[in-house]
Amino acid sequence: MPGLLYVPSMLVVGLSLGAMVVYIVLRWVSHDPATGTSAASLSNHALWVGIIGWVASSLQGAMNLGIIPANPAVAPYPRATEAIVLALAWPVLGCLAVHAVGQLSYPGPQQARRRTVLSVRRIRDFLPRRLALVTGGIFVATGALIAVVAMLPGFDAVPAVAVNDGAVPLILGGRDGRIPGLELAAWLGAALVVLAGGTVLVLLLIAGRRQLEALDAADNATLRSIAMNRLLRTVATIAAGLGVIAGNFATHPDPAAVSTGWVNPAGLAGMAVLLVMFCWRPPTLAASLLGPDNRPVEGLRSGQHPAARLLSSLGPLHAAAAGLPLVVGAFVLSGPAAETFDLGWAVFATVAAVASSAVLAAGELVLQHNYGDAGVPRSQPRRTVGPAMLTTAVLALVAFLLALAITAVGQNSLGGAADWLPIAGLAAAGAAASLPVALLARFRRSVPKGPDAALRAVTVHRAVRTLSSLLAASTAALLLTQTPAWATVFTAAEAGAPFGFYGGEWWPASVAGGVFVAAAIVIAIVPVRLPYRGFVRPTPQPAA
Amino acid sequence: MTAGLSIDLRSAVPPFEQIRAQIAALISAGALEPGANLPTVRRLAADLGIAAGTVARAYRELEHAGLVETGRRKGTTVAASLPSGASPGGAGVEVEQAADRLIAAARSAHLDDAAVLELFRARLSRTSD
Repeated sequence: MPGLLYVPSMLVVGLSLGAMVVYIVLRWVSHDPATGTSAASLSNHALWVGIIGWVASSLQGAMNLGIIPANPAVAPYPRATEAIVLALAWPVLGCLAVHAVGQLSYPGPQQARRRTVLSVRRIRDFLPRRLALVTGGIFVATGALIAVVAMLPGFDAVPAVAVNDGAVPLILGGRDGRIPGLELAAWLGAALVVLAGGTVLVLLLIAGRRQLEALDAADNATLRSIAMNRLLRTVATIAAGLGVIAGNFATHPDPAAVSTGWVNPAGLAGMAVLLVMFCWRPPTLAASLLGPDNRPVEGLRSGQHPAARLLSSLGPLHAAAAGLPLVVGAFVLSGPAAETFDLGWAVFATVAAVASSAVLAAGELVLQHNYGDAGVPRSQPRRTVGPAMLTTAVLALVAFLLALAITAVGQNSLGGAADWLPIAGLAAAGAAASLPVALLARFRRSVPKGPDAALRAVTVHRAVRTLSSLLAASTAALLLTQTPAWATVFTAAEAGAPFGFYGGEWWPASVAGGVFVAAAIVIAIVPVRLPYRGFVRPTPQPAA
Repeated sequence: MTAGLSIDLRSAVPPFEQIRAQIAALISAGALEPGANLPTVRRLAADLGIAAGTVARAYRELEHAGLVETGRRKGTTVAASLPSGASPGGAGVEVEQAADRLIAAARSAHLDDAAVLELFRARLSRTSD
């Protein structure tokens, strides 16, 4: 019962605190220093609502819901209400809360002259119909899959057995079981219903939110459609994720059966939904100075030096390279390394960082080859990294070193293997990959008649950003995969099992790990702004 | 039909009166047809960044004038049968076009909105004398 009482209070406190932080961030994003709000700042606001909502929607912690592990030390309470509610409620309620806060955080009118339209705004006036139909279809398919799961029986897990046959003890591996299907279906069904109901409520909020004075009536309507697009895409992926959990459960083999192989087709469908939703672009605001992504057009302006255009084009490539581990990770996370110790996350982050750094280094080499001139002295930027990015990098480093020390102490107390060492090694390898980028940015040939110093500053800024993101991700890996060590350090052993500690999971470390994952993503996508604007030289004006 | 509404907080005319007058004018001109739904008090107040009571007062006065009706289920709508003098008809369109011409002439003469309104009020009071 204490657990049951504890869940709602933690959810309420956690969601309230999270909502407050998101509100402050979104108000800051929507603020334009010059005019209070502008089409560009409001567009940025809508984009960040989508990004934060997407980050909050991860069902990663719930993927093995309903599975009873063969080793009870991993998760002895797979049916604990608290664990299930937290695993499902955070992504469902978190995503909906972020989108709701997004609508409530738009600033009110500030000017003396205020305009509006005398019309009743309904959801159907702004709803992207095709996307809504597809999302509805995904909800229905997931509901059907959950209904099928409700009819499936549960299996008991088969624990591992140690056989002493002669000198060498032989350990026969156990096999996972699962809880009764009806029990899991009740949880998943409830999550799906809450998600569907919450989506309708947030759609109502989007349709009803106040008119924004920085936009005309048409762009106000378009911004509502943009918000609905981002909400529907996110909830569609969550609904598909619930279907993946159901599919994972349904295809799990009976421990008594001979065959141990299993494939989850819902997992493939979930990946397809993720890709489709990732590519489903929102409509575009007609306001001036906004490009096709509703972002201010910058960088690729006419009259810009070709070297600057090359560096500008590296931005998307740099981001795509960071996605490489999505391919590698599919093997690493399920591979033998993951079974030995949870290295998957750290490998994921390191591969992303190394790939990103490789793109940056290649970009510098191409710059040197195409535009470099050994005869021209190098010009170095006065300040390579802005104070905000430098502070972020230092904080990320301190957090990582602290996490490393705490994990080492905890594992030492437990007397287990030093699993923090490989994670530290991977982080060091990722960090080492950024060294050539910094050296190339410092010592490559100069670009004559071009913004040489600013080009170097942009590359260094990107390298530091990648490094900071890697450190945050590595901290998250330590928190998410080494929870017993954290629990040992932060809880009194004599008091018995620490509060919130279930076998391999200790929720404060998991929550902190989630925060660091979000921080790593946010750091990785912070656009290059200050040094970039500086190097665009004004086009010479013809003499009057 | 989508009708616009604007208020000026610097104006000497109170906001509720600006709202009331504009909605009454839109109904008279036929821009808001009988049975058309008006936004809720809270929504209009949020759009304009003013207190809900201000909009509620404007709606109440329009209701007393017989221009709008408020029902529990349908919210606030333009009255199905308008009092004499408020009916749109063909004359409403004509007045609307005349107003458009006035605005165009004021713009070409570089008059701001406040000046146009003052001019219009002065002409109206002279006509009613």
